Amino acid sequence: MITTQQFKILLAQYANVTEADASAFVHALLQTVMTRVKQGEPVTIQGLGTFRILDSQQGELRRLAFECDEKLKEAVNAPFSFFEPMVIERPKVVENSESSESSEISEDSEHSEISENSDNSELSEQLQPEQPQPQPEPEQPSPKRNRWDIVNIVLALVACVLLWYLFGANPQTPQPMEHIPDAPVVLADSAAGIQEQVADTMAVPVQPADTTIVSEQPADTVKTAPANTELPAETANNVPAEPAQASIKPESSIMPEPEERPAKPTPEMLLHENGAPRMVSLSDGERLTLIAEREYGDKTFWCYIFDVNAYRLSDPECVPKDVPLYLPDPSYFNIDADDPASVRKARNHGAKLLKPKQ
Amino acid sequence: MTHKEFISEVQKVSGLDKQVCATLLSATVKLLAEEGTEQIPVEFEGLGTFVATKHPEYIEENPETHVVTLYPPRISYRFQSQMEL
Repeated sequence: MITTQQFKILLAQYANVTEADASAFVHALLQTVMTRVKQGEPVTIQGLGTFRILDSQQGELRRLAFECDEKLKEAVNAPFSFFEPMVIERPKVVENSESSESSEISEDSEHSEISENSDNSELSEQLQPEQPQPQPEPEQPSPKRNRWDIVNIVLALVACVLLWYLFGANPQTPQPMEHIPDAPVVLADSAAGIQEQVADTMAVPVQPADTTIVSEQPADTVKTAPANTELPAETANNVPAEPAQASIKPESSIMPEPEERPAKPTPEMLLHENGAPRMVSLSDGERLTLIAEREYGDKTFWCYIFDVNAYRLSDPECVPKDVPLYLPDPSYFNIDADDPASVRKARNHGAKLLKPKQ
Repeated sequence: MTHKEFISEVQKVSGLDKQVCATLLSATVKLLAEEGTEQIPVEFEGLGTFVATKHPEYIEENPETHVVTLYPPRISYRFQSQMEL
């Protein structure tokens, strides 16, 4: 609160006059107002307001009233002058609540009317207000999810290309061994290339074979081809081989590429003295050398076993077990363990087969 | 009593110049307005106290038209008399 003395000092500073002048002015102001008001005359000060005496209703008590001037009101409310009364729109929630209330009232009225008319419980159940069940919003695909789908597709394509490059495009890479069924395989008689290849190997110098026998072969592993197979008939008539229904298709996973695939052996290579081919399969730990020693008396003749089965074997050192293998006719390849020339020729041929392919 | 008559009478009582009285009266009004803006009461001994009160903003709804209006804050200026009549 500012007292009269403080106001005089402030007035002197504000009006840039002496404090004496300010004090004299304030004193004169108050005296004039009080004198005039006591006389019952209203005093109006421009920019401040009007002082007047108001009589009470009883007529005994009198009080001094002040009516503020409009200019003083504006000056006091200057900080809020830029605000104006603003009309606010009624919120929609209020309208909905009102409408829901009205609907509830109408439903209640209907319900009461019907319940009064009839005591049917079904109607009362039907008229019960159904509570709105929140419906699940349909899921919208997010852009992130679509982006990840595209990335997954691209990665899958890259993986396919890599697999094709590793296992499909390069024929030199080892291919996984698959089981070849025991069904007889139809042979073609157009495998004269093998004979030429065998004949070529005769002139190769002798090289020591490094094949070893791992274990002895049980005798029951040697099989003879069944008599009702298609092989004898086709080979006797010298008819080109055609895949029969019972025969299996060439094992693409085991055989090399078509351009490098050796030709199938001719019937003359396979038919033994009894007129039927003989078949054998490797068991655990067996190799072609063991079969050759057991069947022909010397392990060096393994190369001929590989020759007649080369059309479906890719590597002589990696022959899958339980695969039926044809045994070549000894007379066709001049296989004789007692003949050193035959042994030497077979050894050279085997060494040629074991050379690493360039 | 008009404003000119008031100034003339104040001039006679105070003995100051008429122009000075007019200037001081104008300065008095401005000071009261400034103090009222800051809500500082000003007391004149023997006469009374000028008190400024701030009223915050408020929302009013017209019961007939249901129009809702937001009113800004305002400061009301009133006078508390100490005068013995």
